[in-house]
Amino acid sequence: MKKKNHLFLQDLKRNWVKWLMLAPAAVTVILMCYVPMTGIVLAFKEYNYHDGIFGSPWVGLKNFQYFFQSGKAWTTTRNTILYNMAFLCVNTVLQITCAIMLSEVVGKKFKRLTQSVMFLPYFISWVVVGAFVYNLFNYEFGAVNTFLKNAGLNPVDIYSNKAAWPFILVAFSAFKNVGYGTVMYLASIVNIDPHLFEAAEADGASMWQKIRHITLPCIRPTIVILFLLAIGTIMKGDFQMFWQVTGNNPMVLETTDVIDTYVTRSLLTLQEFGMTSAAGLYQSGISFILVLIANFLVKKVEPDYALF
Amino acid sequence: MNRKKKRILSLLLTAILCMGILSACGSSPAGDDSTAPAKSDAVDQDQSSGTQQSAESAGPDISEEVTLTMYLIGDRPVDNDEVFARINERLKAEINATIEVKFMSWGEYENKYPLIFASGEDWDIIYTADWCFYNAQATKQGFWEITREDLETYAPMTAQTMYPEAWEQAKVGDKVYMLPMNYKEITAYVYMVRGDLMDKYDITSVSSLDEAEAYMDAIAQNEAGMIPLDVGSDYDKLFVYDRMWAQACEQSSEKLTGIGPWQVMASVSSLDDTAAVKGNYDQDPFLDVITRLKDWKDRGFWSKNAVVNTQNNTESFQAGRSALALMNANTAKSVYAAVTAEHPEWDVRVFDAQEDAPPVLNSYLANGMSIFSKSKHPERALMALDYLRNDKEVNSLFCYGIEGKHWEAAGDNALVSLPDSTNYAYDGNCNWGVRNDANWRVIEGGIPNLPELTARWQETARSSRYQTFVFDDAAVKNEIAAMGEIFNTDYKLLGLGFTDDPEGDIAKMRSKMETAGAAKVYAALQEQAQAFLENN
Repeated sequence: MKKKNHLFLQDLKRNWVKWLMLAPAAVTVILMCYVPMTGIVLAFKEYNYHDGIFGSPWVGLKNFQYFFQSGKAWTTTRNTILYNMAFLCVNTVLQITCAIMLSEVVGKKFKRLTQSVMFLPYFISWVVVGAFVYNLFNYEFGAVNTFLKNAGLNPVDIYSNKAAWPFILVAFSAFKNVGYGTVMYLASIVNIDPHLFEAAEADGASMWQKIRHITLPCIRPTIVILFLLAIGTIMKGDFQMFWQVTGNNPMVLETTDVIDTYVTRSLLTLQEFGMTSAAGLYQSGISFILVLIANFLVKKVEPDYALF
Repeated sequence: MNRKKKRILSLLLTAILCMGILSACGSSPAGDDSTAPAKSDAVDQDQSSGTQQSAESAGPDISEEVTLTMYLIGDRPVDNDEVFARINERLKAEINATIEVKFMSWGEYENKYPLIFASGEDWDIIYTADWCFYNAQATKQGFWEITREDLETYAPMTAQTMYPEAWEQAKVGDKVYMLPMNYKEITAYVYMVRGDLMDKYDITSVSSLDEAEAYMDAIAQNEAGMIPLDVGSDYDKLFVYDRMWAQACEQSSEKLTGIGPWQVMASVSSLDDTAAVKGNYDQDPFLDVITRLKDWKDRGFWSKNAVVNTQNNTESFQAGRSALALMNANTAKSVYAAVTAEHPEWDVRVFDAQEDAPPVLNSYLANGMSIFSKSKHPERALMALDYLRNDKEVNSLFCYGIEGKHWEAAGDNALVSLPDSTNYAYDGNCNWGVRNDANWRVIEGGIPNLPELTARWQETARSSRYQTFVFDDAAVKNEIAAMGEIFNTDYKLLGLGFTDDPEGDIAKMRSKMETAGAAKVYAALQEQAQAFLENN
């Protein structure tokens, strides 16, 4: 222990500039993420305004009961995990595909333009996307149904069709996020040593072979790191997206309700801070376990890239 | 070497993280310690103010000038500041205090209201009501308790004028946290209809569910661009259901009436002295009501997307997207004025939507004012409320605006709105909590048949047997939370007729309610209702 301590001090002395550079970020994380964590106690308390967070009486695990009693724990957990896995897989595959395709494009102007257009949706707020969706799928006046009616077909009622929503949500998540990830992958593709490609060309490799044997292996670290980062947030469903795009529609909750939307909905109607904190804590707990599992898997396959 | 260092570093980092978590766990007792002295401070303060009271029995100490912050619900009227400048002039002279008003809009109040209690913000007075968090915040100690002695010391006018029933109704577990309005109010619903469309389709009256059905049918068949009645938003999702259910309860032989918080969806026969509480879904008329709603939905009386509607039916009506609107008579007054000014060609007409169901004689708690439990000047806030409620000048300013600018007296008990009242509408600035029968003026003009309707309602209005019954939900909070979720989803869907198989879906909801613990809640309700009946 003493030796380790010694090493740390030595490192601090030698690399103090780097430590200094780390300091602001570390302070922010501690202030914004670790200090508020004390609020976790709320999950075990019956909150009242007068006594505040720390003074309110303890109630043990009672706050967790309602979450399971309402029969929603399983559906929301399942939805949260499945949706995020779908987002993760679909988005990653699309991002890599787009990045590779863009890197093969020769026309510089076209490349820039495509990149920008793909990137743009990232900046559109989910509220606005929610309005798009409503105007597309509204039964009476929506664009889709107006088109179908004019084409002499039967209108479709998307808002009461549970099965359609997973696809819609995955599609809109891709719409919004693919451009962003593409740029990251593109950056790492650009960094690949061009000599490798030249050598491959000299050996007569086809485009597919180059992608398969040079591009993909070279961007593997980026893929793994982005994947791991995404795993960390897997339980945090993109709240804005679920809330705004589905319009909190009770007809399709069975397939669109994630833990976040459930917690928000019940906080808004019940004002029971303790109960909703309990659901939030449950979510964080599962999230923690998932990160551990993901990290364990990565360590098995690619020990160098594991987080810890 | 490098690798080893990395490992050590990561170990260290983990250790730090662990410490963070540990300190998080450990900080709760520390937090307790820090709040403990704060508590004793509060006690000291109470004691000192107690001694102050006895020392200066002549009147409360008002030497320190204070600014009180008051929260109201709604949008800031254009002339609000001008009106409050006048109110403050007088309050400053009388009690050395001024009021600063903050608003939270109708769109956000449900979210914001509970949050300002928790936010640590410094404020003093807030509008409240039985439908606006009174019970919930009172049981969470959000409000300052008002005792009879406080009233006599700080609000002598209120102590004299308050209806004794109002004081009794305001009790939550024997303590009062609100000054209820001193005003007898009736809630009655009306249909607002497009006269031009009625004439077009030869419809003479829309004052019952059957007549409304005929009218909406004509619209649904012939007016392709219109939704007959655009309900479905959070505000009006159950409006049509409520009308049908009220009608069905009135016609039922048991004279059903609702009981307990709305999430538990319970009702009881008002003839039954054992107060056997049942879920609405177990009452006989429920299936018929839902079947009729389904039929109306299928015929396109409201949108197929009603459940994701964000506009309420009044807004749609005003925008010309729908042909019928359902609202309470109070809202109708202002909507009528706005619509007739904007679209005189619509020839808007108003009809009674109560049918057989008697209008509700509101409890006094339907509007009121409370003081924040952490207010720094609760006594002064109470004094200010005393003036807002009882002082004729201050009360009239708050309720109708400036005399000569916004309104003109018409006799002692009535007024006429002046054109400037668009900037400070009559009875429209969330002043409802300080309404006082002693100072009240009715408005002349407006909906032509309203006096006639009001006369009828006043004759038939009554309060339900359990109107003042307050349910103590402490023992069944988890069950109610779980039922609230069902209310928000399944019940809302049924209430808008979104079901292909009413009987099956009702059965499904019943079994969900049973899992959520409905039986336990209804038993608790029944037990408390019996105690309530014995005491009243």
